[in-house]
Amino acid sequence: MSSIEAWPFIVARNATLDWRPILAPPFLVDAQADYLLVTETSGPGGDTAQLSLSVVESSTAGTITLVFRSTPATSDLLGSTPAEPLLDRFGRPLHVVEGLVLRGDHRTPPGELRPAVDRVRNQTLRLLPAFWEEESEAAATLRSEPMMIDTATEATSGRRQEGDRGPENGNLPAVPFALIVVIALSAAAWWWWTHWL
Amino acid sequence: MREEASENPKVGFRPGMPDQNVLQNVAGQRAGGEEVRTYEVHALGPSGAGKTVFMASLYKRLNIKRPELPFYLKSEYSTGLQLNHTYNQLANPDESWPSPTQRPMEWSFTACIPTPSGDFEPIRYTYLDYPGGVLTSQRGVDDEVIGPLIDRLKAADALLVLLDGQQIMALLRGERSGARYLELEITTSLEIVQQSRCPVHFLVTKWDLLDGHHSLEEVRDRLMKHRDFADLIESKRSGTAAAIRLFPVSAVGPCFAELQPSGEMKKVGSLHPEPENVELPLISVVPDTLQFVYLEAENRGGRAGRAMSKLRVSLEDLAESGRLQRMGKKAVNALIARFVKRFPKAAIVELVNFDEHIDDAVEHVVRLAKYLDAERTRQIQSTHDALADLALQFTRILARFEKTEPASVLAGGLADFPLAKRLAEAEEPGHTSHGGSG
Repeated sequence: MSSIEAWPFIVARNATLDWRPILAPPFLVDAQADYLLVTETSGPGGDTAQLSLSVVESSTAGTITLVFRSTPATSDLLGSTPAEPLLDRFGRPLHVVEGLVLRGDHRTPPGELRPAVDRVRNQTLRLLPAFWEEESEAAATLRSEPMMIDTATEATSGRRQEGDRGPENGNLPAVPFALIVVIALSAAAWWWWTHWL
Repeated sequence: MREEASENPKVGFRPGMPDQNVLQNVAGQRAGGEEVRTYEVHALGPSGAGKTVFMASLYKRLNIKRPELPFYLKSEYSTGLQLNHTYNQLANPDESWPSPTQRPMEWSFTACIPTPSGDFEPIRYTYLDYPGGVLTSQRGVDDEVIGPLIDRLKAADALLVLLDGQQIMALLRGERSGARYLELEITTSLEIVQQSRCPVHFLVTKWDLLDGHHSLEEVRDRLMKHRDFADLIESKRSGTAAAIRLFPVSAVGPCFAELQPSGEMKKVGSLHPEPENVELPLISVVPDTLQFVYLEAENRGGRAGRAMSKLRVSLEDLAESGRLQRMGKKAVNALIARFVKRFPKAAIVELVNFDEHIDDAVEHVVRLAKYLDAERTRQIQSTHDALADLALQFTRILARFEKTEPASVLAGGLADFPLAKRLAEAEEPGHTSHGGSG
């Protein structure tokens, strides 16, 4: 069993300001490398279930691993219902990218880190309403607090959580199948015992 | 820089990202083939100015050979897919506008001339796309990807400064947001223009909003009332021979989108977009660059430059073109030496590839003279011929546009170049024009 340190981050745009990190690890902010959280997490986004993983070599911050998801920004993130897509001042859709930064190269399947990302989601998304009101280009990036991730525990709970999502994960039906096999074998043994002995 | 852990099937795969990382091209990639010329044409503009949409619309307009244009654009398959995807999203009234750019990208195209003996590809254009916010936020400039990108913008062969037509309209109407736009949002773009030494084209995007309400002349006059803008134009006019132009462009054309009271652009109806003038900025890059390089060599090339001037005057009989070529090379070497001496810290100036373009520039002058001097037909047998022909055809198109929209010339232009001016006059209706090219 091993544990690693991880820092939550979030990058987004609002109606006025372009892409920027809102929350980032202090070591990235101090190295003036926090903008890589913007450039290294680009993509179409949109699938809340999908996590992406990137290993980034930064000359100022060293090797880091980003585990993140990109989702469309909706008004419920600002506390308004019903949830409507948020747009910038030109009418373009906004996205939010949130996730974790790990130091070093951790090519762990992101599914195993999903519970950790889910755990910090509420903490990171809570920053959005204030950012939505922000208009200053000079607004500073907030520094995130590190959290410890027990990789083995996260992996176990990660598999459990993915099991709830349905049959798309090939590992998951293995548990009920094993149970069926055990029950079938027991039934066969009982039948053999009662009929032949 | 980024390494996707692709060996793991669970790792999120993000489609639609051509493998074109600006970092791989920081040093700049000049022409790979012996005769293909590369022009680095980059856009400047804050977020929302329309950099991505402009390129997608330009590509859509030029990826098919149009009867009124002498060429079409060809790109890598992945580039074409990505730009077509962006354009389709733009053109579909049921879809939202394309999302803002998050990561710097580099697009590369070649201009193809179809001829009976095959297609020739004499020119390659490269275009950088990036999140516009890096021009207004210090944090982006500190980034190790964005920093080199800004250097590369400064070393472009031509710059396209995208002015948001929506904000220009606000400026013409005396609204505060328009003034704020000029004061704050395009400051960095103007700074980069000031530090560059190349032709510059200001593009008033979303022209469909202004068309019928304001003329290009009004826009020019209002921009020139802004002190920073006027001083920049004057400084460039007196400091370089580079043309500065103002183009009205629309990526979608009239009646496709409407400005809402909230400031958003809303797609209306089911009309298909009809891009307007999007090709002009690209077309003008070649004649403007060749003219600029040539005039720089004449004006600043010392003794060789002065000899070039004399030879150009006597070029009418075309007998001196060989000497002109030799003088051109000498003048360029003198020119680069002067730059390095004058701006010892601005090593970036050396990146401007005068060497590559001077032969083309001199040949362009000779071809202009030939074109004006005698009957000619298009005879394209090589990439070299194709380049010279394309430069001539582009000059003709530009001459016609200058004639229609004189307000589009802020500095330089064909009128500063006697042979090109004669070509412009030859393009006038009713003028007995030489030449039979089409």
